[in-house]
Amino acid sequence: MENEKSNQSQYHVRSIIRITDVSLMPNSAPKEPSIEYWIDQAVNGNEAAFRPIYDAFFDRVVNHVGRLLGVGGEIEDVTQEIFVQIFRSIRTFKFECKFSTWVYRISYNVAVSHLRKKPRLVELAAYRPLAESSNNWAKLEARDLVRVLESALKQVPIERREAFLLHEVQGYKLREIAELTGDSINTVSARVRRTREQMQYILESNMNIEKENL
Amino acid sequence: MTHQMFSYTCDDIRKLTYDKRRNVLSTEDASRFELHLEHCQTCSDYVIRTVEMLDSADEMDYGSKVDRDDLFGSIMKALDDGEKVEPFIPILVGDEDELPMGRKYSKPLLYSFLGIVVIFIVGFSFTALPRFSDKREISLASTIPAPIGKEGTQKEGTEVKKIQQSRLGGLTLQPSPAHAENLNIFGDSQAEWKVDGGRAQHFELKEGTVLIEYIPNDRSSSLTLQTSDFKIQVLGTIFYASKENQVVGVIAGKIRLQTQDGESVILERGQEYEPKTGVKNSAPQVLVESEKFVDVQRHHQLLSKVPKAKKTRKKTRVAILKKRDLRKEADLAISKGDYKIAAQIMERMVNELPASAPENATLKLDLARVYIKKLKQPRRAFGHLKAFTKQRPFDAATPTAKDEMCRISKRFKLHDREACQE
Repeated sequence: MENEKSNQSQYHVRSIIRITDVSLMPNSAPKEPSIEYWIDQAVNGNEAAFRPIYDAFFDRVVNHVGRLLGVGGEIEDVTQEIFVQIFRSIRTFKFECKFSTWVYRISYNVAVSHLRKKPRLVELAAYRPLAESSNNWAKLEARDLVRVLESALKQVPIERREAFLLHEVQGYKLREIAELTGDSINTVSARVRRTREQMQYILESNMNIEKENL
Repeated sequence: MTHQMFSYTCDDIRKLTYDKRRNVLSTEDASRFELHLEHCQTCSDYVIRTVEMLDSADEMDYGSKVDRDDLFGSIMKALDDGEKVEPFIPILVGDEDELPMGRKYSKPLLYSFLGIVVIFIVGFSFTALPRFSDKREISLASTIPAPIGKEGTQKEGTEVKKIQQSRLGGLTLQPSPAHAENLNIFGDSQAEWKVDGGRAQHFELKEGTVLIEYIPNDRSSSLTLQTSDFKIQVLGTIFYASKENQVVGVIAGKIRLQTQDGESVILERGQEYEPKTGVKNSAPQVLVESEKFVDVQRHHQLLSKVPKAKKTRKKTRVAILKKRDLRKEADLAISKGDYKIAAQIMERMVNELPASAPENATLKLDLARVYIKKLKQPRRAFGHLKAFTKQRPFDAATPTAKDEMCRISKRFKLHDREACQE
């Protein structure tokens, strides 16, 4: 019985693959092509593929930039610069690594280059309450905590900050971070460990000072 | 330290917090970890704070404030323009361009920005107008009990009724109906105020002079008196305050006074505070005349009988939930453009929320912004900014708050030493 079921499910999967293959035939009008299809199109010079690629990677890029730069850190400007660089150089993408890894490296380089520029004072408005919603208060509390993290991480070198955010916040495994950054697992592991120690020191100091000031 | 008896030390717990959050500790280690937290409140607070902080960072949506379509348009334009990359113009909601530290745009960029704002306003009106048409009225009258004082009627049989009227420091005061049993209030003919709140009572002096005897219901209760010039907090005392003369004085006990400049001053019996002269001794006749109104010895006897607070986490949580409703009302008032009401509600929340609550500091920052940007009363923002920078010395917003403090200090010549410190 189990074998029968397994065969049935295999048949089902094959059917789906066949249908998908047909829908991706070059001469047919694709209804919902995969992101790989659009990447391939963009590499071959089809600018119409830019928007689907932008939509697919926007959240990943903007959140990555936001975590690295912090609130009010000109996230829009840097995100724009990253996508401009991606689309300008997409024809040079050789499929030697995952496209997401390639996007990640461009994002990282642009963000680091931005961070090395002279820091600008953040507008007070950047810390205004979030838009009105039913869980506004919860957002306000979360915003407070994120600001504490951002402030603490600003005291940590960028390579460590990056490894820490990927591992502890975004949940990447050390091996995956090593693949993304091109560093060894030992290096990544040491960066995460040192940042944890530094974060512990910073957070404990913050808590002590806040208590004293009450 | 008591926690040495457990397998993990506090330092171990701090180091293992990340592994615990990632759920990679063995069952045995996780049990030891939990066991330590049960007996160590400091570590428990640390772990909760760290885990919530990382979770919040994970859930934070930095793209929510970015208009995807506009950004994509800017990217395509930059690609068309060749090497030169035009900066993307963010959509700023409201009048943020007036901010003293706001960005300065060139004219073409400004016109583009204005165009985007027009499009935004049209879109916003479709999405937000139904909310604005909500008939709920936001006013203090709806959130605060009706005023007492001049408009109130005197209760019969209360002790304060024995005195018809008498003089204090050259003013004629008369007893006023008490809003609560723990308050004896005497006011002059101009006196007008509002009282509200439970454990943390809030007294807003709008006009005139009052003499107040306050006996807290329990030892965690407090009374906050607010005028436009100062704010005072008392735990159990007899004091007087005058809106017109800008003076506060103590007949019995102590009060903590916060000036408009954010300074905190403790006043004791026989002392007065005026913004111009600072702390000084009260005129001797004031203490003598005050005895016509209040019995200081009886006051101390009553204070000694004040019971300890029955404080539970659950009740605190309930109180915080009520504040959430206030926060919503403040936000609604802001969205309706009624910044004065919003500021009053936020002031109440700042006073009533415990200083240890993380929202307290944020509220001060938000309130400062309302005063600076919306009500054009930057001097009122100064105290809140100063308190925020003290409460949150490592906050990412602190440099901005300090910069604003320095600007206000210079403009109003406040001569505050901390205002322009690096």
